[in-house]
Amino acid sequence: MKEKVIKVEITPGCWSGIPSKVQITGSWRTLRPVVDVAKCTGCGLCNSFCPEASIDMVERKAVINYDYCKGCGVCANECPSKAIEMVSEVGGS
Amino acid sequence: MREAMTGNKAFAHGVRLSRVKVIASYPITPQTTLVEYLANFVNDGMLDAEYIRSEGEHGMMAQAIGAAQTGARTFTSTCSAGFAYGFQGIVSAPGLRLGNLMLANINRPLGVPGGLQADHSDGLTARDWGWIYLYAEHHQEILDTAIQAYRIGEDHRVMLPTMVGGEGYYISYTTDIVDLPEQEQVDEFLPPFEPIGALDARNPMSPQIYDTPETMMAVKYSIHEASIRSKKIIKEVNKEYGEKFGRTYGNGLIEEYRMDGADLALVTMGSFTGNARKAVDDLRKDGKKVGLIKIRSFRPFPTEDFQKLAEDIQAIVAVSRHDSAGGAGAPVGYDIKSALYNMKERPIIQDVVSGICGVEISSNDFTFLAEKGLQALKNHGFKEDLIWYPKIEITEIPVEPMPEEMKQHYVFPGTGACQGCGMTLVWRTIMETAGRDTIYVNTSGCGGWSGAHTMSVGIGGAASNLPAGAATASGIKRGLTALGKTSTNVILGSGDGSFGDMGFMSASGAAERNEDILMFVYDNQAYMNTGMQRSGATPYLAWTTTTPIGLKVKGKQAGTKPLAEIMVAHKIPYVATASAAYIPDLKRKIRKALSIKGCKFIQVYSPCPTGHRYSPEKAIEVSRLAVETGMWPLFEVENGAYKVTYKPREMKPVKEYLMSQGRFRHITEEQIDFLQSFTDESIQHLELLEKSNKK
Repeated sequence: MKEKVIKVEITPGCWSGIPSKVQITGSWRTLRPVVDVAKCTGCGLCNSFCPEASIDMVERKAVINYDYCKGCGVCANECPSKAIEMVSEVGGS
Repeated sequence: MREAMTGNKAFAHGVRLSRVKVIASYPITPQTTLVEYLANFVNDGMLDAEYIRSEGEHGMMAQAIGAAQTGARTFTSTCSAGFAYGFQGIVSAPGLRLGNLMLANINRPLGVPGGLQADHSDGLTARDWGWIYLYAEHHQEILDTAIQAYRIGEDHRVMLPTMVGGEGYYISYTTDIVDLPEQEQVDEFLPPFEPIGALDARNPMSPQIYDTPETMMAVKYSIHEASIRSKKIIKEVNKEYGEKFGRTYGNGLIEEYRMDGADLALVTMGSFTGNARKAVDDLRKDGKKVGLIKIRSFRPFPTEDFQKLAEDIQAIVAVSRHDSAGGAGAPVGYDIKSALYNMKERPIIQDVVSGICGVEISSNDFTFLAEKGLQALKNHGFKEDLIWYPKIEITEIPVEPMPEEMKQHYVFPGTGACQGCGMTLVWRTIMETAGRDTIYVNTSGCGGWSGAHTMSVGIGGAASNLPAGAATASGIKRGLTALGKTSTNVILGSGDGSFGDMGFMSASGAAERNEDILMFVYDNQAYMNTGMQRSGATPYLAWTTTTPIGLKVKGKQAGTKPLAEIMVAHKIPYVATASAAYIPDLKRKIRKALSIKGCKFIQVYSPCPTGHRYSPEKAIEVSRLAVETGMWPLFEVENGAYKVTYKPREMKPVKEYLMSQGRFRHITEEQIDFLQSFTDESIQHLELLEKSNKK
């Protein structure tokens, strides 16, 4: 029987300036927020309320980062111009 | 009655069947569900016991000791950091001869590096004080041992507290079929406790804890003697239990498995014994003479049993789920070696550190270790006294600075927080507002464990243990000051439980010293990270897992601890409340706080869809309702002067806020009316405070 080995790289004292061991939390999503660019007024409310920092404002329009968006739906619920719709990740809306 | 249940539930049934009178509880993973089940039993009227929802393990152990000193049969439970925090009480209980006290140790790694999986490092720190320390292998054994423990501890020949150990996850959360004994039978087996001495005003007496050195040494010896003597009682109780319930565990101290004609014995303790049994079966099939000794009682240690077994075996491989850094062996092997050293002929022994920090140790791993042991027998000895398994190969890499592009962000997405979590939102807003010249401190809790503080933050920070967030922040600020880095903001982020309950002493100390730090609480109104147990900040009547909606008691029966007002009473320069639904208001308060020298406190309402029971998209909507109904007023207090920072044009009825959340679903119209008038009065009081400043 072969000996089992754990191989790891660690820094002295485990100090590191690299914070990101983030998870690709987009896989958690069951509902996907979709932005209607025509309706988006660029107010940025969704960006400021997104619990996961997954909405960027690009040229005054909300752009969702689907790698991390967990699909909570806060953005759609808070959008004053109803520009975000939550659609099912399974088999369309 | 046979029923499928988790190990923690089996343990809780053992406690219930033992007719425990007082339970002191505090949440910490993975023992939490055990005390949740007990809260359900109590609220449903299935167990007539005083249930103390403690402010931390230090208090919890003191509550347990206090209760046990009255002669009431007492139960408490903890692990890991909680075990360490309760240590002052843990080391005292044996000396107080509290045989009617049982401590469940559903184990988990202690210290840094932390972890949530099985590990014996927590309980083994209490090896030397006189606790009867029994380890259970599986669900049935943990229930049976819980009942046996009181019989052993309460025996007047013993009178020592008992600790029952079970592995986190492997036992606590997995499900197995358990035979539940009948209450009548348990009552026959375990009669009510008869104390030798107790705190009773009608018969005044007290334990004599300080005396001459000689007397105290003699008292120490009596504890040692009682522990040694208890071996006999453990065996008796195990035998009697077998006669009554049809189940025994070896001779009570150890359990032998296929030791007939064995050359080599694996020695295990706890849940991984099952995997070792499988390995022994596999090896025996191949004709290899390997057996297994399971240690059930680690204290008292089964010295004589090992000496007897050692006469017939040639090698021992002792597996410890804990390390003793820099030691000559490992904890389980230390005792075996001590027990056997004075024998004329003794087996060769290898210590193995394995399965620690929750690393799986499978039956194949045991097979490998046993075969290695058999090989060593052929070579007349082990090459190494102590090995770690699996073998560890470390490559040391240099510390890298944060890449420049990462410095564009303060909080990265990809945290482990739930959908719709307010905590990550509040943290991010605070970081972005404070800017880069900041060091953050996060206590254990949602903020810590979801990764929001260690993995996803683009500035430097530290994790503090739960009761000492404000103290850690104070130390960091003083260190930076000593090094001339006076401009750096030090910001503490705590949950309501870690700040207001367990960390209250530390927070109060920092406030009283007026440390130049900003302390903020992401207030989700319960211990959400361990799975929604009530905290001091939990509102009146709210459901949590430790204030369940029972047949007799429904929801939290105490009010909310007023953290902001308590901080105002410390006369620190700035105190404010804020909400995740009012981001500009929150940002303004952070900027203001950071412009002031001295101790600052901001308490932020942090929505928790998981714990407050509503759909995650409602997180901000419900937070807004809290403010608009007056249940979460937004105010700030600068040098004692109150100012309400947001006044809704028209207050909405509190019912709207309450009914938006599942945690209040059970409350009656009468209770809603009460909460409405309570809220109205609170708002009027706040307005009065504001007016009194203007005079």
